[in-house]
Amino acid sequence: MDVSPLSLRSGFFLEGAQLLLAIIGAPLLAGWIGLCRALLSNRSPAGILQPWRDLLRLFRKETLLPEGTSFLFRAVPYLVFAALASSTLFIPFLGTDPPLAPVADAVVLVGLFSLARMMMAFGAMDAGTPFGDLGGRREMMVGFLAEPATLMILFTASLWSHSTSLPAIIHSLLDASDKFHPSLLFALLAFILVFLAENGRLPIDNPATHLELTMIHEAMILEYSGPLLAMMEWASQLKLILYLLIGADFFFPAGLPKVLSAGALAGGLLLLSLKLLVAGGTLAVIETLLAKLRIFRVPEFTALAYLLATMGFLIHFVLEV
Amino acid sequence: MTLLPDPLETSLLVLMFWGMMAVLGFFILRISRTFLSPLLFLLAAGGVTLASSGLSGLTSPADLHRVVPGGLPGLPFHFRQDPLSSFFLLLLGGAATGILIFSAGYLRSLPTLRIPSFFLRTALFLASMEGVLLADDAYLFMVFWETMALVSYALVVTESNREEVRNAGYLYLLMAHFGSLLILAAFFFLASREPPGLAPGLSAFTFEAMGKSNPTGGVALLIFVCALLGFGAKAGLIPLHVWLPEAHPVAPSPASALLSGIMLKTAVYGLLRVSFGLLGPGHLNYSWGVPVLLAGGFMALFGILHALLQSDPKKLLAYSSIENIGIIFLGIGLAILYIRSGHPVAGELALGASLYHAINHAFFKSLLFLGAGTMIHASGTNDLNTMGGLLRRMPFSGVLVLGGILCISGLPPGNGFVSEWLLLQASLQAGTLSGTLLRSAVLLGAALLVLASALAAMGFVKFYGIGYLGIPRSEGAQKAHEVSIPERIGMAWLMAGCLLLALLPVQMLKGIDIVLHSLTGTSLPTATLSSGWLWLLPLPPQGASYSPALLLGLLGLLLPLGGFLPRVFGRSSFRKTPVWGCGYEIRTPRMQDSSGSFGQPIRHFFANFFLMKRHLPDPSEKDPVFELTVEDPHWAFLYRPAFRLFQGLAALAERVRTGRISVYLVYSFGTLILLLTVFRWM
Amino acid sequence: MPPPFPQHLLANHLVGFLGSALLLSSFAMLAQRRMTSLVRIFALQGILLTLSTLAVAILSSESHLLFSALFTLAFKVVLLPAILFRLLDKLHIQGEVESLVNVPSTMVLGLGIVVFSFTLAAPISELASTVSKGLIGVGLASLLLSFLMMITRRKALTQVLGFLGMENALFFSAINATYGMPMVVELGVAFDVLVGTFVFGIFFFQIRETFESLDLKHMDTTSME
Repeated sequence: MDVSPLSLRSGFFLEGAQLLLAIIGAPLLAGWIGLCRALLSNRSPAGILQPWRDLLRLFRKETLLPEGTSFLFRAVPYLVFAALASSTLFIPFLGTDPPLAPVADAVVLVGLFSLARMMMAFGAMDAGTPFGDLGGRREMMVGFLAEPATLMILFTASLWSHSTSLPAIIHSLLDASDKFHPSLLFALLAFILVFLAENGRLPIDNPATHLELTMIHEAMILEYSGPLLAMMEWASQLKLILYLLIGADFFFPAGLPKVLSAGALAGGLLLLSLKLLVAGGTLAVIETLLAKLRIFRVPEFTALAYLLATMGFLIHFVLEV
Repeated sequence: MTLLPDPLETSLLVLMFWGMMAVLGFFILRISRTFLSPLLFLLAAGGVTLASSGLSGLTSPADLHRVVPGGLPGLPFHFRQDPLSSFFLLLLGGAATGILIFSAGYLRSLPTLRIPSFFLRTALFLASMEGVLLADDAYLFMVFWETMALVSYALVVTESNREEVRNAGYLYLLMAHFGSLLILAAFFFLASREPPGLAPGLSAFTFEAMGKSNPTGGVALLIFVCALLGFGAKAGLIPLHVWLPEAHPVAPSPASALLSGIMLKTAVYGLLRVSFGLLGPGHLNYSWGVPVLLAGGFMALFGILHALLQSDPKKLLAYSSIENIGIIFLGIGLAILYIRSGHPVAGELALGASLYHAINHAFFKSLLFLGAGTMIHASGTNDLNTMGGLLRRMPFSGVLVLGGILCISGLPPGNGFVSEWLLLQASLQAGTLSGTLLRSAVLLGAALLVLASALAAMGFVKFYGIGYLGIPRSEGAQKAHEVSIPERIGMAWLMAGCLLLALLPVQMLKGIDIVLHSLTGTSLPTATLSSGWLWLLPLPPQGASYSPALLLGLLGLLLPLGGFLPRVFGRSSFRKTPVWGCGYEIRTPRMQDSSGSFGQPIRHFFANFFLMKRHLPDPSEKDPVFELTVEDPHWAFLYRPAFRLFQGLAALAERVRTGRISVYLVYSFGTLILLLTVFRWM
Repeated sequence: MPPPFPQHLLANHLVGFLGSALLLSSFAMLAQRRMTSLVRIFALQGILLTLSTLAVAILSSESHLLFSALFTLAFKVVLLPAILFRLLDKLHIQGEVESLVNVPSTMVLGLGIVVFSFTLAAPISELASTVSKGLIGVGLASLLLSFLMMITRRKALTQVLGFLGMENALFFSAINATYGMPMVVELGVAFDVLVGTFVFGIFFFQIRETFESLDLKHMDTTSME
């Protein structure tokens, strides 16, 4: 199959750059969100590099393995990281057509995230502590509620291209960027809700909490330490940036370079960083304004996301065709 | 003319071989049990042969048939192996081989089992399932179908000294006969028309004649409904599913695997044979697709929700079978909807995805049932709450079960994902349908599919997390040890099947395309089939693509990258320490999630799907016990009222029986007079 | 017969966009649990209505629509929300809306209503020459969603909000289908709504004095007696 008009070398370069940028940028974005949140709640910020410092500190530590765990416990952080890192190759964010994008469409991406989630739950349950089980259970719970909504968002975004292939979606959206898309308005709102749920942000989960009964993500990684913990943290930062990149692709694709030249690439990258900074800031504002939901209110939250996305799908046929 | 037998001849040879082996093996095993493993390996060899016969039937699309003397006067036995049969023969042979190899190790560990009769039943069961797939007239089909039902009943009640087993078996037999009656009715309606160009009489009951019958719309609907309910009773269609979670778990594990992994697919085969083969797609109406689609979606959701609450691993798997059959039905409904409303490509894709899911399910569900067998054997009970920590003690089978779980949860790059992905791609074509209602129905179906598969992921995290991870919850689990070599080979065989299905979707679709072509006359897009083994392109040119092999390769490449990082940045030394657990000192296995607590959120969110009875203890009670029973609502709202009704009717009929001979003579006399009157004047 | 709708794509899309935003706000009202947020969403709905009236006014160059837009702004964005906020304040209503049916079920029901309205409106939209196709369905869906909110929520004030939401949806449909009703009718309706809200407000005080609650179930019992 002819995967791309790019030459092999420049394609390889593009994919390598995507992988490296996402992996290196993920902790920076987390740092930026932390900085915004600190400023908004009137604390003195730790600086944008803090997550990187944390990661490096963790990497230098010794790994403590809880007694009674199986080899799966050790394998999980790498599996999770690999599943999420591979996603960086399929999401177009430096150029519209990364050569490996045909390997996985949007549905496969959701599947990869789901794979990472399941692996994380296994890691959490392997130590056999009540908190690990609690975290794993809740994570799976949020997941099954958010996944149908995610799928509906993908469906809605793919309506213009009749395809769930990410480059196809982006091309069709770029070509029609002079129009309003009411359906995408619905999808965007749904996406924000799903984004908050899937990444363990307020109001679903508090990323800063260590209060035992309220945590989800933190409960899952409670038994991890040292480099393994670093991998888990890094993976979740990676997931956050991946979601934002997908969001930028679907809802704000303008400025994504279609051709690979140094100028276009630099411009696109600049614009992309700007988009991510704004998105991170918005996330910080949302998190500052909202309080955590009771865990049994989560279905309402995700049901709303699902319904909004479905309405977007229906609206498309009523208003846009 | 070659010397090698053609696929049909091969299949018939396997059929005879299995039938003969059943009897032969029975007598040999009564003399000595030591021959069990060789005999099972011989059966497995039959399975491999059958799979290869099915495969060659799929690569060279020949329509082979034989007439064998026997049967009724005027209706000898007709056998036929067309692509649809070949596909299911491949499924049967492939999955059965793994199960049989596994049994060679597993059955030895069951000292109480009556080996000779179990062997007899297993072999006969395999033969009758194969017969169902090969039969080409209604009589032969029903003979094999009923044999299959009876033998599988015998398999279910293998441990008939337990009352629950007998009850489950009885329920199964009841539902099986209900289904058979409806299937018979479907055949009757198909055959009641005068076959054009054929002599009237019993020859109208050959499938060939039935295929030429031309029923009117109403009759066609009747046939379709009868077939759907009749085969649905066997496949676990809601509300005819209640026997399934009772009967599948009580059989010994290899038998459960055969029942759930393979026998359910014969029902799918039957439905496709009657609706697409005999009735023909031309007689289907697009609107029938909508209820089938929604019923499938509901089945998927209902099945997996109940699976999530089970603490018996085999019961969990049985409910998950309902989910998977639901997914298959969803695809069939989608196919009818698309094909009959003028979108053949999407329809073929949906039907193909259904078939794909059927064969996927055969492999991973068999694997998991076998895995559940090893879990139950290791811990000594069939309760997840007594397991835990098995992965450390049974690493080899544990990893295989983990693979099966990733596949059944529909995660890339597993094989379950391929079929669900194809089904979603077909659903995505909802935009081409006209009318908001149809589009919404398809979308709802897709959402139910995704919800069910996300819930399946949660269910199997529970299955694996509680069974294999954590710390052992009982003495038995503490002492568990790895299973025997044949058991490992059997499970590895099934896993290998899953892997092939996961990584070579295009090869599989080529085979499925031949089936589709023979059923509906149209094919998948040529670009899909000619794009090379690496790339799956269901809807060319602008549609999405997926490459499982490349995805797996990339994951494999990135895995060491992750492992490399700690070495770059710093230390990579490990030390064993006590568990942190937020610093709580006390830690007992009972503090882990039980199977009930893991399912609690589900019970909370989807309370309407369950019938729950809670007993909250009174503060004054001496031994306060909290009790919760969860039941399938169909029992309370459908089956028990129906049973009561029948009991009432039976009690009425009982009045006729007075016990006095003269009264009975009056009945006979009255009947005679009535009949004579009818004959004279009617 | 009004002149055909200008086929200017961007403007058409703008009206469609505002229409779906209106539908979205109806949905948001259905999903919202807090009283104050409900009133805020209602005010937002007023703004959307004003904007879409303005857009239609400019597109069709019907000058009376400009006045309609002005009225909408005055009544539905400023006056009514102010009254409602005052009511909330005076009646010490805070916290959450109580519902008869749980929120996820209501929303699934709401989705069913949207599907139903779109199906129902499809043949009508084919006939309408003025409207950007499909807006009738959107209006109908918003109307029924507001109705659904009236049915499923318990407190008297939410009923009023549902009623006002229905009126908004009607107004929207009227503007888009026929470029608005005659000025007199519009004015009449606007004042009716205003008076209605006042009357409701007075009623609330009376109801609370009598039953010490604004829960509708108490009124059920009176009707039984």
